Amino acid sequence: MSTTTPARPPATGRVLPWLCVAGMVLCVAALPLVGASAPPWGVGVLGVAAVVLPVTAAVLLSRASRRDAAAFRALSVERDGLAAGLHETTQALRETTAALTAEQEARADQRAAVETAVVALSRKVQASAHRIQEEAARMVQRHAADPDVLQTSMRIDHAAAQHARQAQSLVALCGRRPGQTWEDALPLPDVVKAAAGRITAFQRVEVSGDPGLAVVGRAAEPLVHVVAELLANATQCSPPNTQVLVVIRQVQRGAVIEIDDCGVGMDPRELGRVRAIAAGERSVGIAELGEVPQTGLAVVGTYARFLDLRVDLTESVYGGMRAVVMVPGDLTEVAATAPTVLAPSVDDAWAATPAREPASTGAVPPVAADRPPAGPPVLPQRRSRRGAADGPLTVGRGQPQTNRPERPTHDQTAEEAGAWIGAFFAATADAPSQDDPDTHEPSVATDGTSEDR
Amino acid sequence: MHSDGYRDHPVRSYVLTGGRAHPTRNTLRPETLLRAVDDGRELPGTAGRHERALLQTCRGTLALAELAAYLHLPVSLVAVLVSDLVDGGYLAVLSTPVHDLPDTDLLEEVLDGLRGL
Repeated sequence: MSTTTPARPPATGRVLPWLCVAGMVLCVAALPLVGASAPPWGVGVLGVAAVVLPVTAAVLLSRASRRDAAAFRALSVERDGLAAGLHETTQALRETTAALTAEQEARADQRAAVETAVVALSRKVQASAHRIQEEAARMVQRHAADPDVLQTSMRIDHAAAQHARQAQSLVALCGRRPGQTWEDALPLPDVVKAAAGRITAFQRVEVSGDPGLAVVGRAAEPLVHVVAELLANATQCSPPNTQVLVVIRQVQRGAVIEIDDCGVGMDPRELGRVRAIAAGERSVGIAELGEVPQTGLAVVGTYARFLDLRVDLTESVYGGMRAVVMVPGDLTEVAATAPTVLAPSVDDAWAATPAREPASTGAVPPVAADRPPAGPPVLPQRRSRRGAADGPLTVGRGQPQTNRPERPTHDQTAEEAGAWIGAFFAATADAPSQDDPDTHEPSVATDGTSEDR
Repeated sequence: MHSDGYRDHPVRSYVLTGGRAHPTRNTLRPETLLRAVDDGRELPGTAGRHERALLQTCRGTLALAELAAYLHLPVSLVAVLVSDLVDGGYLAVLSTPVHDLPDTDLLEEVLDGLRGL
């Protein structure tokens, strides 16, 4: 608009010519009327006016049109200038956009490369932590009756489990699935126990409620990790002498795990922020963690999106925080019933039938059969590679696996079982002392136990 | 993870015992015979599945080592769990007949068998 203002001709330039024309018409019209009565000079004035006014009008109009032409030329020049400027700006914008896109792509590539590297390294760290756990478990199996070894193994196992969790958190923050997977469905109380095993203060976790539901194998590891992070938060945000209470319930659309701590809660604004993160509504990647990385809820949110979990954080009735995890029904199934009631090797005849037959092959208690298809949850257990070799004592092994629970019952009495096992240990022990529970001779025996399969 | 029979499980041993590795009774040995006390008492609601499995498995008489093998748990760990159950009066320890040894031939056979494995 401002560009047109200087070229606009004054209003008088347009109006005056038409006034002149109107004056001339008036003069011409008035001439016959006044011709008779007016003095001769009046007629002369009118005549002159009738001539002068058109001339003036013509002069004014031509000036106005010259001015318009000049203004038009000026506008054209200005327009050309503007068009050139616009073109340049558009060009610059296009170049900048291209540069920006390239930059964004480069950054995305860079980020993807960093994430890939972080995932690869984290998986290595996690794998090494699992190797440590495996070695610790093997150590217990080698010294199966020594509580001190068990104690050491537990400490190593606990440290390595936390180590593995941190590594897996990094993997999750890079948007990847957990490195560890489980084939079998995991009962929900075991989910919480498994999660508790990955935090420092596992002894403060108290689980109650068992609706008889299990989480399907593919969701087991992420759910364990989610609960572990929530438990870690709960234990860190509450006094060390308080319990963290976990309740498991069955609901119409699945199952719910509630985690209450007795801490001090959170102010409402902060609560709103962390709720969005934990529910997975707000994604927090590894690049957004900030200077004081708080990975726990970010991991929870990531897995909540993966699994369609509903995670909510609210004020707890105990004063602290309550974390609620809703596991949808398609991720749960009815937990396998209690482990098969294993028929005992001896029955009510404990006090009776002292008659002993040599505990020959048929009577040897098959202390450990082959791995059962769906046994009770188990901790690491070693199996002999030499399972195929048939020794004098391995006749029982040839039986079909499905008969396993019945096998121990075959014609064996309590005395036989006791006698056999007593003799077994007495015969294989190097040290004569049977009274000291901490001697190492049971290790021989338990090696036999774990390898006799 | 599954090599050589090593089987990983998400629930770790220290969680099962609350971090305790030493049983409350030091008289439990792998050959100690155990039997569930059938007095109609139920385990408390906080008892884990392993405790329930132990009691269920022990309806008859079993040695500690046998229990451990059935549950696929280390003997020393089962000793802790069993010890608690004995303390709670849910399991009873039966004395081990140590004087009534099998004959030497059998023991030699056992030993040969073990060496031949």
